[in-house]
Formats: sequence, C-alpha cells, structure tokens
Amino acid sequence: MRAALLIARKDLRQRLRDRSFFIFGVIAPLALAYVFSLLLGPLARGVPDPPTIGLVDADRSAVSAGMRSMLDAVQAAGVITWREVAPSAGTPPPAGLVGAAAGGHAGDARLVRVLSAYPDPASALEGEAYRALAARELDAAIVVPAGLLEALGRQPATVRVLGMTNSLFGTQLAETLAGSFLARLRAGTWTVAALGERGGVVLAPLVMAQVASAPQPLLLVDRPTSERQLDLITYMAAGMAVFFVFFIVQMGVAGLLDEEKDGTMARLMAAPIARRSIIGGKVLASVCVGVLSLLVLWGASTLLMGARWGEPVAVLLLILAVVAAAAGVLMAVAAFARSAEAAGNIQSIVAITLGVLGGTFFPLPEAGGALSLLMRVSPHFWFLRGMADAAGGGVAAALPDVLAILAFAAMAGGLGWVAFGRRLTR
Amino acid sequence: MVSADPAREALLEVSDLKRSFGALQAVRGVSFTVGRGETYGLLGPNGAGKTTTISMVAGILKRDGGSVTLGGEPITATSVGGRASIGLVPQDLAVYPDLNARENLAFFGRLYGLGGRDLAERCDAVLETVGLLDRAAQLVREYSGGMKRRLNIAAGLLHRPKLLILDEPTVGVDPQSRHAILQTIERLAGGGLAVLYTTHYMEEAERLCDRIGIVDDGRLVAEGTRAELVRLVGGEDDVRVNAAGDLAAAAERVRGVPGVLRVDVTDDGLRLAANGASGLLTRLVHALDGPGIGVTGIEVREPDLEAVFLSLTGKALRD
Repeated sequence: MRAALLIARKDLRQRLRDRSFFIFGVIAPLALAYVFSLLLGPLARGVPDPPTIGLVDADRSAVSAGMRSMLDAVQAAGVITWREVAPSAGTPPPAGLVGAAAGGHAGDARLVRVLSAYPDPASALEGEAYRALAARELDAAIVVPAGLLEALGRQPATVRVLGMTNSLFGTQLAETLAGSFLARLRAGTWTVAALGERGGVVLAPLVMAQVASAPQPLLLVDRPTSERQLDLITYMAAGMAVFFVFFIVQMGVAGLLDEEKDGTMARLMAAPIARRSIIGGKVLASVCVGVLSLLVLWGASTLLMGARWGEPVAVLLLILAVVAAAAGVLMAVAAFARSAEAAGNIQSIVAITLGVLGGTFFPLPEAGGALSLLMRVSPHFWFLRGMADAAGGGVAAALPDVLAILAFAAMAGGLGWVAFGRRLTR
Repeated sequence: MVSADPAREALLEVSDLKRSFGALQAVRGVSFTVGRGETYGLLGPNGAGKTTTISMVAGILKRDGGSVTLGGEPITATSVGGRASIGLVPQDLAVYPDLNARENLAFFGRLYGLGGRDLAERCDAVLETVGLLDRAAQLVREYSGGMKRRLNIAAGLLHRPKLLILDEPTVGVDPQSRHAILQTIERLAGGGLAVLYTTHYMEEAERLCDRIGIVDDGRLVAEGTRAELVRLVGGEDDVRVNAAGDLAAAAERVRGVPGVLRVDVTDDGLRLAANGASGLLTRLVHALDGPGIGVTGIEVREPDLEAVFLSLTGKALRD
C-alpha cells in the first residue's frame, strides 16, 4: 500500500509539473462547463415569464365573464398572466403598427387575428390595448366586442386577437385561448338551436352564460422537473462530465504503458515492491484526477449554468463509482494492448461508444430489446439514471444505480487487474 | 569453458538460466558467478541474450528454467526481499524527465525503504558520485544525454546495493560522457561493489571487467579473464609485412627467426604468426634486410576479444 501511495504521489506530482493535471482536471472541465453555459445558457436562465394577455371586454355580459373565468384558470396554472385593459382617454394610435386585419369565420362566432394593425378608432379600449402592446406591457390582447351575447345566433360575432410580431408566442397563446372560448360559444349556440328546433322554450342567454363559464375539464399542471427527471442543463452537464472523465482517467491508466515505453517500468519492477502496487498506484492517481475533475465540473456547472446535481451524498457516491468504473474499463483495455498508442486508440473508441450508449450526448429512448440491453452495459447510463433517481428520491433511490456502476467497475477492473498483473510478471 | 574465479567468494550465482519468447529461445542455459567486489562483463552483439539474462537476474523477467541466488537468497520475479540488494541500471533511461534529479532519486529511494535524513544524504552522495550534485534541482528533461545516463546510474546506486547491474550504460553517449561513466564504474568497483556489466563494446569489457562472459545466440560460449580468453584461441600475434621483391626468399629468411610460427606470402608481402611479436621486431627487420627485398612497413596485431569472439562464433562482435 505504501508503494502504491508513493507511485500515486509521484504521478500526481508529474501531472502537476507537466500541467496535465490542471489541463485535464481543472481547465478542460471548466472550459467544457463554459461551452455548455453558452450553448444552454438561455435554458439555464429558466423558463421565461408567462406572457401577459390583455382582455378588452366591451361586452361585459355573463358570456364575457366566461372568458374571464377561463383566463383566471389558465393564469392559476402559471401559463399566462392577464389583466383587463382599462380605458385611457385620448390614446393615440401607436406608431409602427401597420398592416391589415385577417380573420376567419367559425360558425357564428369569428376570431379575427390582427397583427400589427391600426386600431379601430371607434374603440378607446382597443386603442389602449394597442398602446399597451406597443409599450410591451402586453404580449397580446383579446377583444370581446360589445353585444356579443345578443349577436350570437343572429349574426357572426367577432372576437379579435391583437398581437405584436415580436411576441408570436404570446399572440399564439391568446389565439388559442380565444379559439377555445369561441368553440364553447359554438357549442352553446348549437345547443340553443337544437332545443329551439324541438319546440322547447330556450333561455338562450342563460345557456350561453353557463356554457361560457363551465369549468375547464382538463388543466395542465406544471410540476418541478426535479420531481421526475433531470432538467436539460443538469442532464447535459452531468452527461458531458461523465463522458469527459473517461478520457481524463485514460491518461492515468495509460501511464502504465508509458512506464513500459519509457523504460522506467524496469526500475519499478526491479524495486522490492509488489507488482500490484505499481498498478494500484497508477489507478489511484487516475481516480484522484478523475474525481477532482468531476467535482470541478459539478461546482462549475452549478455556479455558471444553474445545473442542479441534486443530493450531494448521492452525487458523491455516483462520482466515486463512475470514476472507479472508468479506471476499471480502461485498465482492462490497456492490459491487452500491445503499446501505449494502441491502448489510447482503443480506449478512446470504448469511451465514446459507452458514452453514446449511455446517453451522454442525448437521451436514448427506452425502447426495449437489444438497444435497451446495450444501454445498460454503459456505466454512463447508470450514472445519469442515478442522477435522475437521486433528484427524485435522494441517496436511497440512487443506490441501485451506484451498485450497478460498482458491479461494472468490479468486473472490468478485476479483468484489468488480473491481466495487467500477468503482464507485469511475464 | 573457464571456471569461475576461485579467489573470490561468489555473491551472485546464476545457474542454467533459460527463457523463450514463443519459438525464440532467447537464453539457453546460461550459468556464471560474480564474486564480491568483482566486475563481470557479459560481452556479445545485440540480440545475443544479454538483456534477457540480466532481466532474469534482476527479477524483472520470469525464467523458464534455472536459478539465481544473491548471497544465498533466491531472486525471482515474484520475490521481493532479494531484489533490495540489487541495483539496476537499465539500458533505457529509467528516470522521469518531469522531475528533477533529486526528486527522481527520492522517489526511487523511498521505494527501497529509504527515508528522512538517510535518504537525503544518499541522494547527495550518489549525485556527488556521478558528478551531478550541482545540477540536482534541474529538471531531467533539461539534461544532456550523458547527464541522464549518469543519473540513471545514480538511481541504481542509491540504496547501497550489493550488486550493481548495468545494461549497456554507454549506448548513445558522447565520448566525454562515456569516459566519465566508465571512470565512475571503475571507482565503484574499486570500492568493493560487485558489478554485472553488459556491453557489445570490446574496449569497455577489456577496460572494466575482471572476468568476461562471451554471449552469443543465448549461450555463454566462453568466460574468463581477458588473458584466459585470448589463450583460448591460441594467443598468437598477427604480423603483416608490406614488402616487394623476392618474397619467397624473404619468407625463407623469416622462418628462421625464433618465435615465428608460420609465414605466408601474400599479394603485398608476408603474413606471420608469432608469439611475442613485439619483441621480435628487431630480428625480423634484420632478417628482411637484404638484396632483392624492399620493406615498406610492418604491423603487429595482438589478439583481442574481437578476435576471440570471431574465433568462437565465426562472426564479428558488431554483427
């Protein structure tokens, strides 16, 4: 053990001296984290604020109250915020709003989508909506015309959506909401018409008000991602970290072959130490650099990118396990290689293959069959799965994944240990 | 084969070493001993089996057969204890270029159990021995080839070994560094250290070694002191006489000189085999001094290890 520690210390000193320790253990992970933050930064800053929808309610009837109820429900779900557009005297048409109205007829209710159009000068409320749109106080506005209830069934009623070309998401959302509202109204008018054809006494306003105000049958509820899986930022950061650490560990394990190539292995083997301690020392140094690298990337991705690696104890266990697996796999490969160069090439291929199979670049679907089986051969897969499990259930949830990685490390490492041991006692 | 030096107590005993790599029999039953304070050379061309032999002696390589003991303790590839008494200077530069000389030595010293003040003192001592004390803090990558070679030797000496094994330590160095290395080894041997030295340079073997084992094709074909080896192939001096004229008459006159064993007429003169030719030169000149013969030069070649090797193996040492 003492000899292994001496060799590990010597290796780390060499790594410090030739700067590969900083390059591969600190700078490369930080650079990688920085690249991630550039690529994924917009996502890292979180979901954008929900669009603000304005309601121009010129109707102010029981029917338009249904629109308010609907907007309340959607706002409660966190999808939008909405406010009623209040009248403002003498609001001029905002400059820069150009274009013409476009619309579509749907039964006896009409949705008119107006993008960047001049307002109807007759409507002060609508003018105020345009002002708010131009001032970016609103992302879109829904205009419910006066006399909507009375118009229903007799003439086409028009609900207008006002939007800005630079806020298409908000406009589309407002369109969807207005469309949903109109669909309800259509259903109501059909009901009224059907009852009327059968000779019944139809209280049309009452029916329409009830239809418009009916509660939402389905509601989308957003839950925190940490309760079900890793968010994209964390997934990418952890995936690339575990992918990269295989190459970092590779350098240390390849050091065994470098010692052979450079002639220093002969002196190590001539020393009064067990051959296993030479292997142990090399692996220990590799594991130290690998763990350090992952810790740096963990911290950097958390600080720079807002990644959420989750329960620290679980993450530490996963890191230790996956670095051990990397050392085991790469040692097994190196043990059978004829030269350091050949080992490096094969190790790279193995690291990339396992990384892709494990879903470090993109999550692979759990489609079952051979692919699903192959995915489970990769420690990367178990690492990322462990991260997700830890995010949802803490250390206990991640333990099976840790054990899977350790089993992988034990098998590959055991093979490498025996094969390298035989290589050193030729 | 000449027997081991009976005047010295055997420190290293190597018996019937064998090793094959696939179909290649690299070492085929090599046996020799090295006494305390003795410098023993394994002389042979590249590929003769010298490095494989010393790798087995040092416990680096497993052997297919035979035994190695150092001071009575068996040395194997899996034993640890006996290896502590051996200092190995591999043919490759077995030092780390990213560490300085003192760091290299400290690392290897610790592997041999040295530590504290003893380690520091030993580092200074061996650096002094190889003339690198003033460059101890310099990174090895900045050293010249000769300095690296000297540090390579220092690393083998650090732990006070009983036997120092040097595998072609002067390969690829300039004449000045080579001289310094040979001087160092002479000093060490003079200090009582047993040395096992492999080389394919005849001059080094003649200069350094008390006894020499000639290795070819995995076998020890002969061993002994230089004089003993020369006697093995007859010990005759080779004399070349460049002359013109009546060479037959000249040959007849030379045959009458005591000590001359054979005379042959060649295209450019005479070739003689003689014992102690250097002492016969005056008589030879006198015998050749006469009408009809013009002598332009006489060259005396004493037998050397090159000639011994040629005689024993049928090929030149540098083949």
